[in-house]
Amino acid sequence: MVKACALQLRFENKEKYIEDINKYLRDIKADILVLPPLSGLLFSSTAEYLTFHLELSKQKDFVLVPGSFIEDGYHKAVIMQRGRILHTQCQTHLSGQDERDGLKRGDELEICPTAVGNVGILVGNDCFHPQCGRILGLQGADILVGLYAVEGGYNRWLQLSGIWQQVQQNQFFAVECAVNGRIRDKIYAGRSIIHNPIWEGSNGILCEMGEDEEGVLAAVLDFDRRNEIKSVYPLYKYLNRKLYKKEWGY
Amino acid sequence: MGLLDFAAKMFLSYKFNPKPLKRHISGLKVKKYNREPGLKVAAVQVEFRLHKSTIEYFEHMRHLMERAAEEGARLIAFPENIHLPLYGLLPGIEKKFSGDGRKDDDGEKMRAALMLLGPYVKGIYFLTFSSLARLYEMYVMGGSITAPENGELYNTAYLFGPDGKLIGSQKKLHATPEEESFGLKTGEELDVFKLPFAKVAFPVCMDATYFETFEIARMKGADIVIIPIANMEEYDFYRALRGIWPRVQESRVYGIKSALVGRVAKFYFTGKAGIYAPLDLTENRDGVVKEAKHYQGDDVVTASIDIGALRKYREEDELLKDRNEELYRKYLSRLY
Repeated sequence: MVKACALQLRFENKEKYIEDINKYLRDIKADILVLPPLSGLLFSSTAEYLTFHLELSKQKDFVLVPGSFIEDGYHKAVIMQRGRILHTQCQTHLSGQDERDGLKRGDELEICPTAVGNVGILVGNDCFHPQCGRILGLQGADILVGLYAVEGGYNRWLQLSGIWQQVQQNQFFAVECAVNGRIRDKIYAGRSIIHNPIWEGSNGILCEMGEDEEGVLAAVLDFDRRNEIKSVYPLYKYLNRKLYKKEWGY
Repeated sequence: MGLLDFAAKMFLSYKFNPKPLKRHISGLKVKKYNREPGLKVAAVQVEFRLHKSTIEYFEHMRHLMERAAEEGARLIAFPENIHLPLYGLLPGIEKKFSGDGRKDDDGEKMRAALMLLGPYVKGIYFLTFSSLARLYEMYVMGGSITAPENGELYNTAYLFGPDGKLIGSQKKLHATPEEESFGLKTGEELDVFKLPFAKVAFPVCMDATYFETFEIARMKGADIVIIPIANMEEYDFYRALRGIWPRVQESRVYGIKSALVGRVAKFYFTGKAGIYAPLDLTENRDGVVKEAKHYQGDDVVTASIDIGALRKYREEDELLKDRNEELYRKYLSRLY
């Protein structure tokens, strides 16, 4: 069993962010914690942002995914544990707005073995591209971290068309943390959600937090139930590899 | 051929004799309905009932067809395994269907039964849906049937034109564990058919669990992807949300889901027929153009869809226009 948490905050500025981190994480018990995306933009530099979170990570035992940041034209996220960066992931697909903002696409999508299992990250727009979940799932991802950063008013259906469906067609867990509030004149809205592949008595959502709320969202990831689903209905076994090869050459 | 096989085939030839149905069809006069400009499509929800004659089966389908025609539909879709109601022609079938379904040799028995019955149900299926297409001058995706072809079992759907002629077929591309147990073979091609109003693909049920299906259909130019289903599970909103709905959002096509529903002995099918579109092309931004009110009972869902608007939307798509081919090739070439 793994206790997964996401911290949802309403962004205003760096000072409030640090206050919130101290307030909500003081007594937290978690195996993996995901912080809201784009938090890097609240800091004056990537170095300052990473240093702050590495210090935080040193004080705790959990696997930490501290949101995301922009560096060298890439939208990136990292996995940390005990003050060390274990893995870096760049966003691999760009929206029209991302392109206008001058972002570049990453060309790698890897899982990272951690104490809580194999973890992969979908940064920003990647959650809407099913190839991403498939690539991570086929590599053996147990937990997907989704960093949901969508501008404008909240649309639940838009969000469900992202990570939720990636979980259902790949049978991993996902901890999705959403950015809310204002960053650099853009307003974001989303819900933090912890997902599971649908099993008896579950709709694929272990817990979620309204877009206007702040706090820690927590759920226990039951790997036995997930493994049972995978063994009863092994979705990957029925992939039509011959067809894909014929159509795409891979 | 053993004596028993011979007797069984004689019996089936008698029960599935197409002549009475042909006579029935030739005596039919159907009303002609006006169609408004634009494209209206229909998704059919069929309640699974065991019919005692081919004419009863035909009339069940015709009743649903008539409703779609009244509403001005040009394209209509029927569900997966639409041959199942025809098994009612077999005496004692309800008792047979009541078996516990957990015996090791069930897969083999099922295969033998499907291989034997397939050619007979296929004949009635073709006569039914080709005639309906011609009588109502509509494009009819008649749903799928599980039947043999060249010594193998396939789950295949067929599309008929308004002249009643077969336009094309589509074999199911992804099996379920149950289908695997009786040796269903999957197809190796996904075809897109150019109709006068849109390009259409019609993979089958489980194919919508895999994004790859819709990705290929979209790359081949599909505007509409039809998914006939026969889901054997208790209805749940989120379970039912898997499949066509997320696929439509990812691939920016219209989706039509036709569903076989109802309970006969141990078989319990649920699902809502519906018509789906990318969120931005639906009134409530929920991706649902129209859906059946209930997951049981016969229903015909019709709605107007705008292929021009869909194509324009794709050109201006802010969210999904990006593709990272380099990434897909790099990883999927070794992971698939």
